[in-house]
Amino acid sequence: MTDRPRPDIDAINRPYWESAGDGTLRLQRCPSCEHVPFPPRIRCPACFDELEWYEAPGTGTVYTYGEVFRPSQPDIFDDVPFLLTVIELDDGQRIVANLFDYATADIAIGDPVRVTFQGVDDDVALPQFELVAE
Amino acid sequence: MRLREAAVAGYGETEYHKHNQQEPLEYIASAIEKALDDADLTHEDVDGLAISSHELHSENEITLGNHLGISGRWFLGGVGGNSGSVVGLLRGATAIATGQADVVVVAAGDASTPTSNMELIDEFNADLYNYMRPYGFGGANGLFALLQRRHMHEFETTREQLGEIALTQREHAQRNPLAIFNDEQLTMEEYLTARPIVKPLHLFDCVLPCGGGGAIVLTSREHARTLDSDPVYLRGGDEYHNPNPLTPFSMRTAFQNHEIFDEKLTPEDIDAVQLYDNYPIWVAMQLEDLGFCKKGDVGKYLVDTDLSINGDLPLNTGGGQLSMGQANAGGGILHSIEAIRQLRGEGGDRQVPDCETVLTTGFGMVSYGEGLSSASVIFSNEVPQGGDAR
Repeated sequence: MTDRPRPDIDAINRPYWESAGDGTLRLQRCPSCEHVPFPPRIRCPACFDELEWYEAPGTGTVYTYGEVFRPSQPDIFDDVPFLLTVIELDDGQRIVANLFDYATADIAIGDPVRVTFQGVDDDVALPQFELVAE
Repeated sequence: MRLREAAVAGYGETEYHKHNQQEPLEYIASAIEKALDDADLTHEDVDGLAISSHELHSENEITLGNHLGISGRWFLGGVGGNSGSVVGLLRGATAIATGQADVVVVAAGDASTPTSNMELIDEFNADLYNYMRPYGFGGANGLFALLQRRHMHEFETTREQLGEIALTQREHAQRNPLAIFNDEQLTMEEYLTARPIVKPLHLFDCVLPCGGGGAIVLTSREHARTLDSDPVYLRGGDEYHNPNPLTPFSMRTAFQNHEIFDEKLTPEDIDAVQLYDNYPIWVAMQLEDLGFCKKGDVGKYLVDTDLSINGDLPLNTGGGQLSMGQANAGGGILHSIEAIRQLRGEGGDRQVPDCETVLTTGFGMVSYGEGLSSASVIFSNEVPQGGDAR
C-alpha cells in the first residue's frame, strides 16, 4: 500500500492523531461515568460530561474482520486483498484497523493484538494492529 | 403520530437503469409525474413535498418544488439518508393530520454508479472519513462485511442461509419488468462462488448502484376516497435514530426500538414484508429486530420460512434493491411503492394472495460501525380502526 488518505484533524480529535504521530495511543475517558468512547467525541455520549484523554494500553482482540478485494480508492489501495478489522481494546473501544503480516486463513475472532503505528505524513500516523504470538 | 388520518392516493416509479440515462432531477420529476397521474391530481393540488436524494448538489426540496411549480407550507429534506423517504411518509402523514398540508408528495431518486457510491460513502460523515476511509474500508460493502462476519461468529449464521434472501428476491425480480435483473437467474452455487467484494460479502450480496426514482402521493382519508384509485392507509409506523451511540459494531439495529406491534397487531398479521435490502445480512437483522424471529435465530428462520410470493412471509416481492438495483436514496422508497402496489392488487403475476397488511422499512445514514437512521410503515388496504399502535 502506498500513501494513505489523510484524516481531517479538528478540535475534537487533535490529541488522538497527534499522539498517534508520536507513537502513542491516546483515547478519551469520562471522569464521571468512566465511559470510553470511540471515535473521539465532543462530550461523553453516556453522561454528557467533558471527556479527558489518557494513554490507552493498546492491546485487545480481533472483534470482527473482512478481506477487502474492492477498496473505495483502488489507485491507493492497489495491493488487494488486504485485511480490514475491528479491534476491541481491553478497555472496550472498537477501533477499525488493518492487520499487517497476516495470513487470512489463520485469523480468528478473539485473536490477541497490539497497537502499532503507520506513518501517513510528517504529522499523522494511523493506529494499526499486529497479531501477538501466543 | 397521527398516521391513520392520511392515505396513499397514488404512486409512480421509473425503470431502473444500470447505465444512467437521466440526471437525478429528471428521474425524480418523472416519478412525481407518474404518481400525480396515478392519483388523478396535478402539481397545483400539491402543497407539501419531501425529497430524498444524494446527488441533487445545489438543488433541494425547495428548489425542486420551484422547478415543478409546487408551493406550500410543508417541505422536508431527506432525513436519515435512505430512510428519508419513509420518514417523509411518516411526517407527511402527520402534516396532513395536523393541517399543515392537504396533498404531500414524497419522492426519492438518484443516478448513481458503483464508483460514485463509493465516493459518497467515503465522505458521508466525519466518522467514516476520519476513522474508516484511511483504512481503505471499501464503502458500505466494508462496513456490512464486518457486521456480517460478527453475526456469523456470534450466531453461527452461514452464507448459504443468507443466500436464501438473494435467491428468493432474484426469483421475484423475474416477474418485475422494472427490475435490472429481470431476466437473470441466480443459483445458490453462483451466489456462493461469485467474486469476492469484501469477504464474507461476494458480488450477489451487494446492491448495484443505478439510476431511477420513485414517488408517493399522500392526502387525507376523506380526499383519497373521492379519487380514482383505491386508497391505501397507513396503519402504523415508527422512526428511530442513533440506536447505539455507546457501542458501534453492535449486532443491534435501530429497528429494535420501533414500536409498531402490540396486542392488536403482531408479526403474524403481516401478509408481506418489503425490507430495506442493501445486503442480505441487513434484511436478516431486521427480521430479528422487528420480531419475526429471535435474535440469533435468523439463519434457521431463513431456511425454515418460505419467503416467496405464495409462501409464509413474502419478502421483497419486486426483487428488492438487490435485484431491482438501488438508485441510491431511491432504495428507500422502492419498498413502500411495492407495498402499495400489492395492497392495490396490482402485483400482476407477482401478486401476493389475500394481501391486506404490509410492513415496509427504510434505512440509512451509515456511519462508524452502524447505520444511524431507520424508519418503518405498516400499510393496509383496510380502513384502520382506533388510534396508532403508539
